[in-house]
Amino acid sequence: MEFRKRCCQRLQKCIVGLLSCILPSAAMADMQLNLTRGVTPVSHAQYDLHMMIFWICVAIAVVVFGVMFYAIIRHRKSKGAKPAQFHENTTVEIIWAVVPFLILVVMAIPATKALVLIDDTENADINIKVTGYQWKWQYDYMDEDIQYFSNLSTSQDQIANLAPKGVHYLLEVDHPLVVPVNKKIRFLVTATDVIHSWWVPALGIKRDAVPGFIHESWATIEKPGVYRGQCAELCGVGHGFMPIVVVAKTQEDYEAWIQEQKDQKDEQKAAANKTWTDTELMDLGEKTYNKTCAVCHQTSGQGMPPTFPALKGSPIATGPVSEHIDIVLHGKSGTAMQAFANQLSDTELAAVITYERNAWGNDTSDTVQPSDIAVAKGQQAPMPASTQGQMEKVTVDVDKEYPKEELMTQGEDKYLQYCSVCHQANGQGMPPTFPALTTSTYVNGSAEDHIDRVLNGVPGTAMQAFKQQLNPVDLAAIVTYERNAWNDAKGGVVQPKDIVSRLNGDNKQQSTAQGESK
Amino acid sequence: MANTRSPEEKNKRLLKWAVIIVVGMFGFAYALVPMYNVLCKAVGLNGKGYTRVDVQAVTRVDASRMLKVQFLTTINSDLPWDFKALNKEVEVHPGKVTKVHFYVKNNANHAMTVQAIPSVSPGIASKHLHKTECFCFTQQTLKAGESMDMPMIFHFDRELPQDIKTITLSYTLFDTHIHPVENNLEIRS
Amino acid sequence: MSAEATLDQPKRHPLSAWFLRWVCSTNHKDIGTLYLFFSLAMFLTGGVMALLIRTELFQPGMQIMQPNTYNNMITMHGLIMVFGAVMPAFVGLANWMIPIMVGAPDMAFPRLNNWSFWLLPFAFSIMLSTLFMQGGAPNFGWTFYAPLSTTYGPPSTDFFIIAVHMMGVSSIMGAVNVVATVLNMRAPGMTMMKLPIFCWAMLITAFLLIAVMPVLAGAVTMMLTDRHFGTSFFNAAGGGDPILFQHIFWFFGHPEVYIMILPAFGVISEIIPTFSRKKLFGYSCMVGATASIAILSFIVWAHHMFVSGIPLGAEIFFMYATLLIAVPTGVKVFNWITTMFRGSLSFETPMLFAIAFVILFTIGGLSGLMLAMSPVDYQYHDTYFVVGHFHYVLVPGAIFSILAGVYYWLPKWTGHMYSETLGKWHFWLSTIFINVTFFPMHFLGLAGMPRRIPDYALQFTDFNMVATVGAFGFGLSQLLFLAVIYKTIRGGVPATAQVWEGAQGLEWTLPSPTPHHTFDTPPLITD
Repeated sequence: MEFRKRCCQRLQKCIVGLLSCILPSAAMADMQLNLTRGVTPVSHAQYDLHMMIFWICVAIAVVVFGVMFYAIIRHRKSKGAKPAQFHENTTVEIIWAVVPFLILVVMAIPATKALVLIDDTENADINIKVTGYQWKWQYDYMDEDIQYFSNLSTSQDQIANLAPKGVHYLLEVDHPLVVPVNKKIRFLVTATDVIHSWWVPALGIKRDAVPGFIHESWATIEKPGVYRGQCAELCGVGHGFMPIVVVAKTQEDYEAWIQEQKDQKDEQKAAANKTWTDTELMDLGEKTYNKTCAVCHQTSGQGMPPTFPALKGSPIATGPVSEHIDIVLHGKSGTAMQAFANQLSDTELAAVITYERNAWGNDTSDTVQPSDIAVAKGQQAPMPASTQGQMEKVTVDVDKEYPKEELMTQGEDKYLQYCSVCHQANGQGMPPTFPALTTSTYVNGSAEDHIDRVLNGVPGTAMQAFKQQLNPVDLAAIVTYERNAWNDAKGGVVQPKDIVSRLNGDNKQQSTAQGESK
Repeated sequence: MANTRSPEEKNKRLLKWAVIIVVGMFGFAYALVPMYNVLCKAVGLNGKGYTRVDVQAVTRVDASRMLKVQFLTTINSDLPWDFKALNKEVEVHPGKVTKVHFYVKNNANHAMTVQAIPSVSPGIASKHLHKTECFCFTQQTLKAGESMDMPMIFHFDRELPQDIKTITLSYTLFDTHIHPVENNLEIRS
Repeated sequence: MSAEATLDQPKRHPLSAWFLRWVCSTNHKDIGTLYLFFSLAMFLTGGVMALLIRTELFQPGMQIMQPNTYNNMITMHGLIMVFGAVMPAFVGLANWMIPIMVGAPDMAFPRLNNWSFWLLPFAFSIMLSTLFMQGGAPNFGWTFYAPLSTTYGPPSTDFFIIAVHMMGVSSIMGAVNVVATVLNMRAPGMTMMKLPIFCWAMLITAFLLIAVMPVLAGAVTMMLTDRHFGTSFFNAAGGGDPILFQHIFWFFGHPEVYIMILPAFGVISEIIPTFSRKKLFGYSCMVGATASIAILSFIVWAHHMFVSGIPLGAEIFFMYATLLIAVPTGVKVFNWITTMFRGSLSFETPMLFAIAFVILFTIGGLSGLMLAMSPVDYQYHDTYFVVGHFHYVLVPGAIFSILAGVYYWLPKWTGHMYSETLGKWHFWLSTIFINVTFFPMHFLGLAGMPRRIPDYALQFTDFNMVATVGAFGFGLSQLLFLAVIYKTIRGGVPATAQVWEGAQGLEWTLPSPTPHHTFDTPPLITD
């Protein structure tokens, strides 16, 4: 008896231990077991229906398994059970075909009602077009002329386990969809590349976004709050990384938000002309710095020498203002320092430079105003408005087909000049900051993605955009080199033509961006 | 079961039938394509049910109803074009022939041909949609940097179900040249 | 025939003898064995992929693979398990059992049989080779929705298309063989309504295969021409429609689901009466139910597309049709239970697997009933709830029935009894870990976790960890199965002809192990 008791206790401890190690946060996390009740009439209908079928299923299971276990326990051979001889009974068969059928009818009636409810998108107060892209959402307030993209805002470091994960890991975006409560919102869902699916559980909406076609959905949100969802249709590599965040506000707050959006465009223009105070610039500068620059130069301004120089006490940050502005605007080729002229607004640029010149003991007490940036930009326009203009000037022959050997030789040359600082001559990089190219999915994947990375860089990382720094032939050579050097020569050849076609694709985004700011 | 045929004979017959069924079902998969299109037209699925009228028929306007017709434009996969509905929304009576305008511009440095794919929501409304003129009827070619005003003339007939009050006409611009696999075969080896 | 004749010639190089015996075999038992081993190999390959997937999902964040590799894994896992593990296993069982169940000397088309098997290793070599190709393996899920698989598919997609064609041809030829054998090769006196229920299930499955595999072939051919020859079946730019792909795919895909489960019904309907020592309750109803499930499977396909924007009328029709399938399926479950009721039950390993099948498949069926409810499917669709549902019907459903069948017939095939102790361990570990793996997935789905994502939000962590632990437990318990098979082939207690006390039917009149050639003269069936 004693022994048994001890064994029991030990087993208990083991189980508790095992559970607590499997379920580290079981106690604190609000583990959701059931469907969300949601905050819209549709989601309530779905929830009620769900609970109804669930209990019907439980009841069926209890009856069926009850009979089965009765037989398993009572009619076993080891208990001396003798088999009965019956093996047919039409009445019984009919009964158990008809009874489930009746249950199904009972289930189908409310389900049909709910379907009709879901389908009724008429009399909407607000119309929002939702467009799925690989891999982000675009929201277009059709009645207000407001449109913007909504991107995942979780950092790559969190995904790569280099930084602690936030509470809303993978369920947070830079610009959430903002809607009012108690208004009927009609969503028109479409996509531009592959099929996505716009799903917000609390709204009871899941709609496939199909390129070329438009589908409707609706919601009347009852409670202000933040409701999160995700793309629900496999849409490629970034499928798990395009969340949806809906912020429901009261009518007043919503109107204020709309006004704010409209004002913002004007403000951006106004801000550029306004003279900012030191504190304002330093506050904004710190924010911008931490978001954009700290990845490499660190929040402490100490950088990660030798690749990322320290800004604290650096000759650039404490030397002449014009040089500092120049390097931030146009980057420094051959290094990881990218050009920020087009990535940040004039105000942000002014603020970040001011911040760098006054933080960490760089007490130059210089203030850079947005107008200074505008002047600096005007003095040496870094780039003609259209890339085509530049391409026509370039004397290289982009239409020519270059032999692979030529591209490889030129590619190696240019690679060593422009890329090897970070990615190393052997392509091994310096992970995690500079990924290895030898094993990179971009280098080994589709040529288009690879080209786009090289052309446009990766905002928020040290990977800069090279489209303005190199001509198409050099770019083609580098891409070809990267795809064929180090491991295998199977990467194929990328011709300048391919680069040009990607540049043109890219050109469109610029022009839409300009269109928006008008 | 007096069957005089030998198993071999029966097997041969069966094999013949199996081949017929297999070929038939393979063909059926292809037959699903036109069947689907017919179905789409019949129920207005995906907005494919609209009719194209060459000459403007005389229509009687139902002044007692007002429809809100919205226009949406989407540019598919990074096409370097601008595409906007100049009339984002119009209010029309059923039967009233209306003209709206769209704006397109080719931002690429070469001529491009595009096709606009129409979609209507709610789908059933497309059965009552009649277009006299639409840029979506044909492919559109623009030179580098060229822009164009594209009109669309349409009306909804009076048989449009009473419960439909808002109709969205959506157009997605596709590059006709992009042959699917070129995406992947851009690398020549 | 010539290949078999050479077997009797004693003087041959062992290697060429082996080659002639296995590669050139036209013997249904040998080909059945080949199918079963092939399926086992694929089951293990697909299983390793599943474990990689579960390892990546053990914790939030990307750990062992890139998102693209993850997509490769889910695609390959699905394709291999469906086309490589489950379907060939049933064809293997059919090859082995149908001729000796109906009293035929062999399958109707022995050489076709050889060919239909030998296509498979090549098809899957092509399929698996894509993993090592430039641009990566197919990464669009086993459902390969356009345009992700057409315009956006990696170059290896073309190899995938060829592989699908080959396995389609193989399945169709296998199915034709089954139909011909069951319809034309029965021993005199064995009328259709005396046919063992497993043969009925395979016959109906074979009809389904002949009807829908060509549709799949059509779908992938359209993909191929869309990708390379300028057609626009699924490309909206040319007047096609990506949704059309889903219609065609699921017109194949839903019957395909029943292709994987109807033979399982057949196996279970053989095993439960044996170990209940009682005739199967409602034989004719069982046949009718199987047939009506097969017919209904052709008119429910769009329930996979409830959120894809199909019109209200279609939603209602497909919802009703899908709900209707519950009726014949329910009849089958009730009949199994009634067969057990007032029987004389004993619980050897095949029976244990069969009972677990009935319980766990019913759970999967009930969650299927929930999924059939279109309005709520707006919440369930493409979540882990669906993943939980179809793994419940496929793993403790199809896979358990295959395991049950193997344990049930292994003594007949090898002439040795398997180790009951090992078998029971295998059963209990598998059953426990299957539930640990797949049950939490229902909770994950309801809580809002989409399927096919390589990384997830923090609130899903706990259940994912549990599922991963379960998956490894289930994976490792399959090693016991390998041990059982190895030991049983090598030796063991000799099996009697009847093997099981309650076993009824022609196959149990043959000695164990079954001779290489059986029923050269057809037996006469009297009762």
